[in-house]
Amino acid sequence: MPRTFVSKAGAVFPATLADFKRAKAGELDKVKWAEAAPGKPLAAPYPEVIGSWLDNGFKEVGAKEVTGDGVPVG
Amino acid sequence: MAYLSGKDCAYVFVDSVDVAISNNEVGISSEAVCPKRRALGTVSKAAMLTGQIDSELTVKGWLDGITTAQLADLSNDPKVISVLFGGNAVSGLFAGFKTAYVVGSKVGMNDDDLDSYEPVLVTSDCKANIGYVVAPFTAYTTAGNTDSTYATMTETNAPIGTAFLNVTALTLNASTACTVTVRHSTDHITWNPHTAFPNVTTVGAQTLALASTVYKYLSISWLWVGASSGQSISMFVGVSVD
Repeated sequence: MPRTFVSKAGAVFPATLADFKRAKAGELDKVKWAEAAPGKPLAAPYPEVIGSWLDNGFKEVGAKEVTGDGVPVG
Repeated sequence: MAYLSGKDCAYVFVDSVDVAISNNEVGISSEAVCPKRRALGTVSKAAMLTGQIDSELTVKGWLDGITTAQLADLSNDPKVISVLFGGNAVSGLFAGFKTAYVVGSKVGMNDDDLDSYEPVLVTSDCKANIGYVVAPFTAYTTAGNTDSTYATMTETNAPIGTAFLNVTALTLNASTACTVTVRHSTDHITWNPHTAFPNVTTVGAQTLALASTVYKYLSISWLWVGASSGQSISMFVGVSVD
């Protein structure tokens, strides 16, 4: 089951893994970007982007909030 | 950026007017405590801090050959002033003043000071927002963004900030407005819009509170409201974080 995420309106990310690698290398002028549809669950097109999504405010669908000790909240 | 001089100060925008072209001196006096000395063998730090600093701005040295139209624009209304003292380049430092007034002028008529006219700009709240050039001053046309030429802050994940927008020329044609949005990213890989300025419909300037976390990498996007072609906006955008 792929992990799915929800983003803010207007969020963009590298469309493919090759684009991701170019972005990470700072070659942003060569990157093809994909825009996330706001409010709609989006499956990660490649697993490497998930860390960047989480760092930049994407919320994982079905993820439970946990404390710093990893204990589920609520 | 060890040294800055007059040539590095690319623009001094007072709302929509660039007064750098007719002055030879800009001063920003600050109350910030800046470390000046380093032991031998250690790297010197930049003396200019970022963020909101108690400051006062002066612009003087009015040169011959200026146009009276530019002077007339410097009325007593509060102005948004952006001083690009670190150059017109991404991540260069700038100082933004949210509410500044032209408070006086001097007319010299003696032999040594013949027919000079020196307006003085003073900030009303004595706060300078020292920050980064995010969108260098130029004409932006087809809707797009500057993600690929992002600005990098020294800070990471600043809690809040202030954005400055100075627009000197605007061609809307059949569009009704231009929407300028500050964008940010933790890693310059995934980008999110942060906050949009109120729609731009005329030349002038605005400031914008960035009321939530501002990430390390910054860019802008601009889009046109209403279909048209041939639109253009000549603007500068800078961001200061606190």
